[in-house]
Amino acid sequence: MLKKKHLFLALIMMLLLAVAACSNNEAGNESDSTDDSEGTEEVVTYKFFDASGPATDINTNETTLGKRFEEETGVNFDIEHIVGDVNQKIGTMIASGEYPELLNAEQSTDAVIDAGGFVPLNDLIENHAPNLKEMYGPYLDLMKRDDGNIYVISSGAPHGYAKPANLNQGGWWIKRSVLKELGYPQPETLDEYFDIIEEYTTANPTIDGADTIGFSALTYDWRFFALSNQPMHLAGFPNDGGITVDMESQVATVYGDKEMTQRWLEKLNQVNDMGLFDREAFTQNYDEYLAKITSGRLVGFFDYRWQVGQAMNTLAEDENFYNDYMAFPIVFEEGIKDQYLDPVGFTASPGIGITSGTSEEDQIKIIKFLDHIAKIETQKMITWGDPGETYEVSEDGRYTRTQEQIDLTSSTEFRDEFGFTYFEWGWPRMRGVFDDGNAVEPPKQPEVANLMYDEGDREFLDAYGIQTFTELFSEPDPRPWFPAWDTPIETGSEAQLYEQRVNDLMVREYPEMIFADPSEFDSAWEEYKTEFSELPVEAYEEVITESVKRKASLVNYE
Amino acid sequence: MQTQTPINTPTSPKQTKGIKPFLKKCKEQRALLWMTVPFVIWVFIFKYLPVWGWTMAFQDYKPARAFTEQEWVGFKHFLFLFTDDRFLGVLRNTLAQSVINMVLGFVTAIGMAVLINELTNIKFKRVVQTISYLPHFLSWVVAAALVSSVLSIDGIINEVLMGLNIIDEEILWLGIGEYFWGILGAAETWKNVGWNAIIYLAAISMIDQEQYEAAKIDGASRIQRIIHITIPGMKSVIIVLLIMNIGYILESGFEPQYLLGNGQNVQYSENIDVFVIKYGIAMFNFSLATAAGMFKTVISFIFLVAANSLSKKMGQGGLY
Repeated sequence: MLKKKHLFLALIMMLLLAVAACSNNEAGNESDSTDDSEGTEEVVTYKFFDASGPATDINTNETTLGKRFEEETGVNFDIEHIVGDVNQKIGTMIASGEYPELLNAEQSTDAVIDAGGFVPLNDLIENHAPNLKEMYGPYLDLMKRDDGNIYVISSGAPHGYAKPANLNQGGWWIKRSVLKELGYPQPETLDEYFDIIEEYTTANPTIDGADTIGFSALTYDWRFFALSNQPMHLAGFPNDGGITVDMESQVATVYGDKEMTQRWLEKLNQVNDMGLFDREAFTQNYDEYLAKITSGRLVGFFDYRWQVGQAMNTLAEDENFYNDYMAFPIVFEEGIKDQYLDPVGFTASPGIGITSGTSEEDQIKIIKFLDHIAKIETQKMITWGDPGETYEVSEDGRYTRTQEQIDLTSSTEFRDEFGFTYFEWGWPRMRGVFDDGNAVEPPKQPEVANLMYDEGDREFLDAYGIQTFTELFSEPDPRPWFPAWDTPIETGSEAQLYEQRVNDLMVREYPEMIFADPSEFDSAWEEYKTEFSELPVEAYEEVITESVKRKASLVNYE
Repeated sequence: MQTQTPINTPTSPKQTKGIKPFLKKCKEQRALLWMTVPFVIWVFIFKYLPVWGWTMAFQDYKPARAFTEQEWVGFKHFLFLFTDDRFLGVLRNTLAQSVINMVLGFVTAIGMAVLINELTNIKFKRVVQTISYLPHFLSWVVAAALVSSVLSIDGIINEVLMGLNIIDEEILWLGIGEYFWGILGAAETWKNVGWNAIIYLAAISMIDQEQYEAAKIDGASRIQRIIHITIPGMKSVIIVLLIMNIGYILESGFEPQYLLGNGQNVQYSENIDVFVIKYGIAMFNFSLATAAGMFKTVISFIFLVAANSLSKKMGQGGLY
C-alpha cells in the first residue's frame, strides 16, 4: 500500500517538474531576446511573419547575407512564411492581438493598421535610420496614412528608370512555333492578333494529337482580372486595376461598363463563334490553366508574366525552344501608344512593419537592421552579390556577369544558401538605377540581359530585328500616381463593397456574353450594363481619384 | 439539450415527482452526475459561451477594440443579408444542395450497409468496405481536383459517353449551372457513402441473429428478410440520424461549392457559406458573417425541434 502511495507521489512530482521545466525554458528564451541590451555582440532573434508567399521557413543567419547582417547589427530573424489563406492567418493574429515583431501582412495590411497592430515608424525613421530616410526620402509623404503615420515600409523605392529586358508584366503571348510557321509576323492590333491565331488554328486543327486551342484565359478565383484588365491595356493604359486615369485631369474612371470593355467582349464573342476560344476558360482552375500552357496545344493567351511564371519556366527548361511563348503589345487600333510596361511608381503597401507589443528597445534594433539594409553597399549586395564572386566590375565601373556567374546566381540552391531568395525583395529596397548608372537588378543591366539569351531567344530577336524582348514595347509615360490599385480601401466602406460586387458581376456575366450567340450579344451586354449601373461606382471612383491626386501632388519622378 | 442529460438519465420504472425524490435520486446517482460534469463544462465553454459573440451581429465589429468601444448598428447586417438580391438564390441553393445530399446520402448509405451485410465472403466484404470509405479521408481540395478533371472536356466521363455514342459532343459539365446540384450530390455520395454506411452496419450487427433464423425456418426469402428484419431493425438509428441531419439543413458544405464553383455555374453553386466567405470573412466584415451564422442557427433549431416533435407524434420516439 505504502509503495503505491510513493509511486503516486513520485508521479506527481515528475509532472510538476516537467511543468516547471517547460516554463523555465520559456523564460530562458525570453531572456535571450531581451537581456542582451549591453553589447551588440549578443544576437537577438526576432520573429518575422511574411505573408507575401510560401517559401521555406528559415533563420536569416543561416544564409551568407543574413550572417553578415547579424554580425553587423546583432539581429537575426526567424522567418515564417504564409501557408494557406492570408486573410485567415492575419485575421487570427488580429483577433488574438499577438503578432510577430516584424510583419508583412500583404493584402491584409489595412486591416492590421485598422486594428492598431502596427506601430508608427515616423520617429524611429527620423531618429535611427538615416539611410532609410535618404532612400525613401521622396516617398515618405506617400507612405503616410490619413493619420499622418507611416506603418509599413514597402519594397522598391524608385530611383530612375531601367527598362527591363524581359517582360514581367502583361502581354499578348503567342507560341513561338506559330510565329515561325507564319514567317515571324508582328501583330499590333487586336484584329491582327486574332487573325494569326485563326490562320494557324485553321491550318493545324491538332497539335501533337490534341485539339488546338486558339485562345484561353485565366479566370480562376481572385485571378479573374486576367480576363477583365484587357480593355484598359488595349486602349493604351498601364495596369491601374479596374479604372483608367486621365493624364490631364487625373480623374479615375471605372471602365467595366464602358465602350472599350464592350469592344473587348464583342471581339471575344466573335472569336468564340469561330471556335477559337477555349470552352474551358471559365471552368478550369489555376493549375489546369498552367498545364494547358505547358502542354503546347495553346496558340495564344493574354496574361501577366508573373502569373504564368511557373509554366514559362518549365517551358524554358526543356530542349524545344519553339514551345516557348513570345509577347506582343497589342492595342485596339493603330495610333494608340501601348503602355504595358509599368511606369516608375511607388507602391506604399504592402510592406513590412513593426508590430505593437514590441518593446521600444526592440523597435530600435529592428529599425537599425532595416537601416543597415538600406545602405547602398548592402543594396548592391542583396541584388548583385559580391564583386569577383557573383559579378564583375569593368574598368569604367559597369557591372557585368560572366556566363558562369549567371548560371551560379540563377541556381536555386545557391540563391537559397547565399540569401538572395530571402533578401532580394520584401526588405527596404530601391528600384531602377544606382547613382553610378548600374541597374539595381542584374537582369535589367543590358550587358547581363544580353548574355542571358540562348540560341532560341536569339533566333527570334534576330527575326524581329530587336536587341531585347521588351524593345517591341513602348516606354511608359510618367504617371506619378501609378499604381492606382494600391489605394487603401477602408473596411466596411461602399468602395470595398463595390470591389467585391463588381467582381461577382463580371464572374457571372462575362461567360454569358462571351458564349452568347453573336446575334444576342448586344442584349446580353445591355443587361450587364444595367446591373453594373446599380453598383456604387461613384463612391469607388471618388476614393481612387482622391488618392491619385494626392499621390500626384506628392511625388515627381522626372 | 446536452445539459439536460443529468435529469434525463434512464431511471427505474416507478417515477415519482417532487423535489425530494429528485434530490434523493441525485444522491443515488451522484457518481454518474460527477462523470457528466466535465462534459457539461465542455459544452458550456465551447457551445454556450460563444453565443455571447452573437452581439457582434448587431455591431460594426472591429477587431482589437474593447466591447464598450464597438459601434452598435442594430439590424443593419441582417437587412443587408435579406435585402440582397442574391440572398434568395443563395438560400435556394443551400436548401436544394442540402436536401439532395441528405436524401442521396441516406438512401445510398443504407443500401450500401444492407448490401455489405448480405455479402458472405468475408475477404471480399472487407475489401469493398475499405475501398468505399477511403475517399472520405481525402481532403476536398484533392477530391475537387479529381472531380474537375474527370468532368473536363477530355475527361473520362466525356470519353466514355462519346465512346458509347450516347452524346455526340463533349459536355462541359461544370460549365452548365443546372447540372451542378447533381454533380455535387454525386461527388458527396462517392466521397462519403462508405463512411456513412459504417453506423448502419453497426446497427445491423445489433439485430438478434435468432430473428433471421426464425424467418428462415418460416420460409422467408433473402429479400423478405431484408425488408422485414434488417430495415426495421435499423429504424431507430435511421430516425435519430435523420433528425440530427435535419438540424444541419442549412449546412450544405463549403469546400466543394467553393472549389468547383465558377462563373458559369455560380447561380447554382453559391450557397450561404460561400456568400459569407465573400462578403463577410474576405472583407473583414465579421459582423455580417456572425449575422449569417445566427440566421443559420435559428433556422436549424426550428427544423430540429419540428422534426423531433413530428417524429414523437408519429410514435417513433425522438432525440430528447
